[in-house]
Amino acid sequence: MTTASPHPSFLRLFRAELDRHARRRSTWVGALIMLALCMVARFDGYTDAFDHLLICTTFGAMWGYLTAVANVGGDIRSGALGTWLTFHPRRQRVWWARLLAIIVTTAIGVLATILLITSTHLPAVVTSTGHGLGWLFLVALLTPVCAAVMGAATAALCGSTLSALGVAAGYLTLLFVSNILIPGLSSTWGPIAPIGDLFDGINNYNSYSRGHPDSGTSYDLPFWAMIRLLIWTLAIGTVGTLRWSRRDVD
Amino acid sequence: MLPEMAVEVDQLNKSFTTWWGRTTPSLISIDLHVRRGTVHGFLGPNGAGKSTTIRALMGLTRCNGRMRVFGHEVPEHLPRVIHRVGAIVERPRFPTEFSGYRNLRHLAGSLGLPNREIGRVLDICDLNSAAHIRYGAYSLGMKQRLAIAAALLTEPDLIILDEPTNGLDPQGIRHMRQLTRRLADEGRTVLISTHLLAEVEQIADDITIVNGGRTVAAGSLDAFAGGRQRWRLTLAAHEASASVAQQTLQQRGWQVVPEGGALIVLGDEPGYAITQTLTAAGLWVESLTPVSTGLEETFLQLTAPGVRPGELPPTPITSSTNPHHGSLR
Repeated sequence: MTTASPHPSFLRLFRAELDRHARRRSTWVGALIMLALCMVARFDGYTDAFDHLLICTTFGAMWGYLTAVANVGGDIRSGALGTWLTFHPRRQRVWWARLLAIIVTTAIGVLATILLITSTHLPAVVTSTGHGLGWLFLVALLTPVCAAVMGAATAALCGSTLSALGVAAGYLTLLFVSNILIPGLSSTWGPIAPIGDLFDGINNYNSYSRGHPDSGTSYDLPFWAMIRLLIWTLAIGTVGTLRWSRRDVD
Repeated sequence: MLPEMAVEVDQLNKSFTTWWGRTTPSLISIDLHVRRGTVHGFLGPNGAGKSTTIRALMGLTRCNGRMRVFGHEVPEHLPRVIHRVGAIVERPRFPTEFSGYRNLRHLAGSLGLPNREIGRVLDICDLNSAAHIRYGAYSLGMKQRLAIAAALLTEPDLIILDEPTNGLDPQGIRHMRQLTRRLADEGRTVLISTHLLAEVEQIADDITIVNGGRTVAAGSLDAFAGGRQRWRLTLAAHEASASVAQQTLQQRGWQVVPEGGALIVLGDEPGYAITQTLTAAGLWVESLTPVSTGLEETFLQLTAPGVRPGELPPTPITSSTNPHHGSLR
């Protein structure tokens, strides 16, 4: 009587999750908005190729976070997750398939945007960075991917899209206020600090490679900032994963 | 030898602890035993613990106690049997922006099922014409039918339906009843949780009644219904013929009680025997409809506010392989 495979493969689950995520309105409308914002910045005063990369990274990180939150939080809140888990009781498997789908979609979306935005002056970027180009692209991709993972984990923790967005807004507000009260504090705590350091590092590297190093420039700064970003992502991702596996689902 | 029980739940319990540390039990002791190949009605008032029990069976919520599906401990070994189980759990939802077809396709794809299975279940649930409409635009009934279609995708041996008639119109309810019966006739086991006692009476073989987080009774439908059928009889003549009909039927062994302009006839024989008897006596039947058997009364007695399991009236419950059948708990 039963026709379904008793052990459907992870790849099938991943493909279904990828299709679901890519077709979500929040994903592709968000991608169009990201592209539009990058375009506006591209043709509105920012002429430097590095600036374009940073803009893509910034909007890409926002997009990654928002789409991950919409996917995970929306499904939990609406009850669609309960229906899905009725067919896939291995929650960890669903979590990893979904996370991987979010990561792949974010990476492809951001990479496409970067290529589109910088396509007209990519040779200039290559010339000015030399062997650092690969490193810069890595940073530009990794930051949105980490933001997406943190978004998925925050949504799993909060249980809804709005709460997860509220957490991000609250964190940014807290940073803003604390930076007014104690100047410089925002660069020392929270997951956004290493992102800021990554951007600074890229700028410094850019200046250095052009033969105009800023005072105190150290072009190994982005490496450690990246490690810190990964540690934050791992920490928040782990808490989100644990919550996902233990949550009662409606 | 295959285990005879499709579902076994023993002493399932669960408590919620609030933020301020107060513990509230939602399930106290639920026992549920569903025989293979039967339609099992799982009844209880709102908040009795039906949906929580079903969610626990499907691994969606954590509970204490022992649960088995086809002999496998769940939720630990649920992945081993999930391909044999199709379930809709209390107002199932799908992403609203995809069509019904797309939602089923995602499910089928993730389970490794071919797309033709989607057409099959859409046919069964009569959703073909609405397959490409956005789920968010579906009516309640269409959403419910899509959920049932999803539950049937894997051609499961056990189908768990939690309030499947929610939001369905009368045609939909009838369709659901026929579908449930058909599934049972194909040898599948159906566990159905519902408020519609009349529906359950027409399709269920066994019943479990829960109230206040406890199983208060379990047994075969016949035992609950008292084994006697009730009929509402109206005659195509003036009131005087009603008393003649009452006497005629009582002489043949039926119990007859006047109710308004009709007669309620209680007996073991089928309905056609009533019409035959009355026709032979020169009385013409205008209508003869089956009415609720004893299930409704038993249900209301068992689930009345303030009734505790130890104070339950002695309802004759008999039968079966279920260790809890034959007893009020």
